[in-house]
Amino acid sequence: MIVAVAGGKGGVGKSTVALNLAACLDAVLVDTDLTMADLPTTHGPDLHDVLAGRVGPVEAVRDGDVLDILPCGRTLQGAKNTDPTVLPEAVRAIAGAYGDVVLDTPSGMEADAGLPLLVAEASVLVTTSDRPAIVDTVRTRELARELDADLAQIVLNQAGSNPPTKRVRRTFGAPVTSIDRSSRLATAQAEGLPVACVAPNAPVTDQFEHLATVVQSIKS
Amino acid sequence: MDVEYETDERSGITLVEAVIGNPNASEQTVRVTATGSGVVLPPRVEGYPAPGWDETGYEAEIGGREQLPVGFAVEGTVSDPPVTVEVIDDSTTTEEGRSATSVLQRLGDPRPAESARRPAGRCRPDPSSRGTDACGSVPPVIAAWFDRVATQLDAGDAAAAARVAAVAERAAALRDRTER
Repeated sequence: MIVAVAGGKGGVGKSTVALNLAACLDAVLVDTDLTMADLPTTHGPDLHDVLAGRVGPVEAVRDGDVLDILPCGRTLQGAKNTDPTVLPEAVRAIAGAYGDVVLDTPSGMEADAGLPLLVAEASVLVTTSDRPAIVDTVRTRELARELDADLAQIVLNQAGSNPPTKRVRRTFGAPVTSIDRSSRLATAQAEGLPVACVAPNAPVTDQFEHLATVVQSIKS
Repeated sequence: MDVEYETDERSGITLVEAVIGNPNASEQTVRVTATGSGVVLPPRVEGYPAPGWDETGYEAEIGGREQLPVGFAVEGTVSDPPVTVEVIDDSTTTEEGRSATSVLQRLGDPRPAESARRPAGRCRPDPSSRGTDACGSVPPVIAAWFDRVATQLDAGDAAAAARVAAVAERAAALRDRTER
């Protein structure tokens, strides 16, 4: 299964959700943001190299103790030298070798998110409760629908004590998973780790497990 | 199509909320039309009618077994039900239409624009410059400071060596951020 974690607005926590969802699903996490890599990385082949034909997609995946990742490159030159049309084929190759893939999709509603949503079989859209984020995510939902990335779940991220889950569910006509605002989640993300490694008993860890269960259920 | 709706009339304006459910496994394109004779006031984004809306209604796709929420206002009253839903036969979307190339053609290129790249081979440090040039080289006063530290290094100053290493690490980090 190839799942795109997307959202129209930057800063809503897409990369955090993508990393933790990939960890829960035991999926390969691919950072598809060509111009602003979101995931921590060290030296080695990356998505820029794959899309430029310098290395095969499966060979570029970094097998980690906790998470398998294909990070993106961090230079404008590298991004410019890629052939983005190769992305769907590369992602399918990774899915063929590893099984499930989670795509950390760039924020944006058109060019940036188009190809990851094209190759994805399902989408998880991340928003916060503020109106600008909701408006942008509605637009991303339209794009996901057009590109056949079936909406599996809306993630209401950085939720406070009384998240407007019902209102968000009615706005999108889709089920919603709330993810609490959590300092332990932020700490884990800064280290490039899923929160389950830092705080295995925290409520936010259970929330990501629930999200993974829901996403997994659409496979069948 | 299954339709659930609520209306709320206030001060001559009727607010309509509807949820259209697709009972079929396949995606459908529908047109949702407001009933009654009042002027339709669609939702707006930055002052413009939201995508899919026109003077009389809304057109959108509903995924298989999915729901489509629709909200709008009408001047005056509406009939019961406040909307009619018509399934539109949309045969214009094909597999070819969804290819990677066609997606790029329609949505644009996600790669950075040519102007976003620093031109290779055209950066030359300008000693008269009072700031950094396009390559990010340091101003002359800082370069002079580096020269003094280099002199100390040549003389075997261990403390200066440590400072230079720390500054070099910081410069590399800044350059990395600049290139992003």
